Amino acid sequence: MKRAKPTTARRLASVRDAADLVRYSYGLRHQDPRSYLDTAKVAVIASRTSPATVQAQAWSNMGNALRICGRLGPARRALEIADGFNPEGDCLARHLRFRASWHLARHDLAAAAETLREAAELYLRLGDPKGTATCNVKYAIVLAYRGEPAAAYEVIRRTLPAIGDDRDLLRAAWDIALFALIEEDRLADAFALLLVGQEVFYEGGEAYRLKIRWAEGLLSARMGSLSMLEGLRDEYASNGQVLEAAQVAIDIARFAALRGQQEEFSVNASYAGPILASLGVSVPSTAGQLDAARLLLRLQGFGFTQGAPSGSTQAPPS
Amino acid sequence: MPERAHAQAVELTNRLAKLVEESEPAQAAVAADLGWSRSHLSNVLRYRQPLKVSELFALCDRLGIGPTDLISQKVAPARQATASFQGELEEFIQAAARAGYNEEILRRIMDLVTQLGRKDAR
Repeated sequence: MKRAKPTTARRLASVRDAADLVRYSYGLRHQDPRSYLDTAKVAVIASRTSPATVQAQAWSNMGNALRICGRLGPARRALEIADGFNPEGDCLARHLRFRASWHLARHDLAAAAETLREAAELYLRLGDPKGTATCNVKYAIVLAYRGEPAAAYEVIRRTLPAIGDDRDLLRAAWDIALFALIEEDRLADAFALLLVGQEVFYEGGEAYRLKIRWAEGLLSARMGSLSMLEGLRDEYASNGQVLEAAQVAIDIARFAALRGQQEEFSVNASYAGPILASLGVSVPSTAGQLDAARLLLRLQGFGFTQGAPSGSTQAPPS
Repeated sequence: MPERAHAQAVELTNRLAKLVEESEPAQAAVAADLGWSRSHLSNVLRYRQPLKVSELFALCDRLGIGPTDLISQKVAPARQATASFQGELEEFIQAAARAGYNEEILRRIMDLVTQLGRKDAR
């Protein structure tokens, strides 16, 4: 039986205070990241006269929205402001998850893993299995970025029973499993997961439509064509999702380098390098991406470092 | 890696071309059903134009086969993995059912994938 979802208008009509607005805005994160950010900003303004807990929620939520929109510098500042309101309990646990996602966006994997451990312990104390499952799913991303797709896939499989009725979390888990299978070169299994999970994926809206195109693009690249990835890079760029655009460009550069396609490699390396540097992102570290980044370093001289550079988290040029 | 990927792509495309050739409707009819020009179908089957994954899905669907079938018959390590993957897919479907997705639809697709795996094992 399919669960009916309230429409956006109905959900908006149910907003009565700043805390409701924070929850409403958070619900937009996959479907419409820009609206998520706009609404999160309004929630911060609306929370000015609210208790400290609500202000912490609002600022933390805005930090998350900024991070999703690729504005890592302002995101860090918003998360720091949220720290100043001393969040506790559920609010702190969610704040830690947002912090972990911010570290992940910068590919600072050690910090992300440590923050997730803190969050998971807190969820355990709070008796919130879904919260713990959310941390596990994010930890699987850390493992995938660390170049351990098999371990990431296993974490997802172990977490599946605890996901319950949370469709967003299920979709995220399914998505990571798909990418892990592709990274492992289990192409037939990836196809099978994609086929069976189409309904799950496409219900996720725009963000997942693009993620699925990314998965299809990677499969297509392994079968000899880069055109799907190129189209996706351009679409991410036109949406203002510069980090994703740069990551796709690195994927293209990786395949181009492996095939000796110098022009495609140069175009994509030149595109991705300055974006990643301006975001303060260290080298993407899945095994394949690391190879491409090493090539970037040698051939383009962009000066990436494995660790996250301090004080270099400015927003990308607008 | 590039040679392997290229070889896989050529193998897949050759297999698709053979299936289209052997299929009951003529190539022109297959192209028309898909809304493609005849030259586009001809070009992708002769590896003159890249075949998109979405096109691969559409073509497989028209030919009555699954993309997994096509892949697993040509990629040995993937074939081995697929045989053991059915149980893992089942776990994903159970999680989706708990989240309120239509289990019947998911299971129907799962059955198709399983049948393709069994056919492949033979």
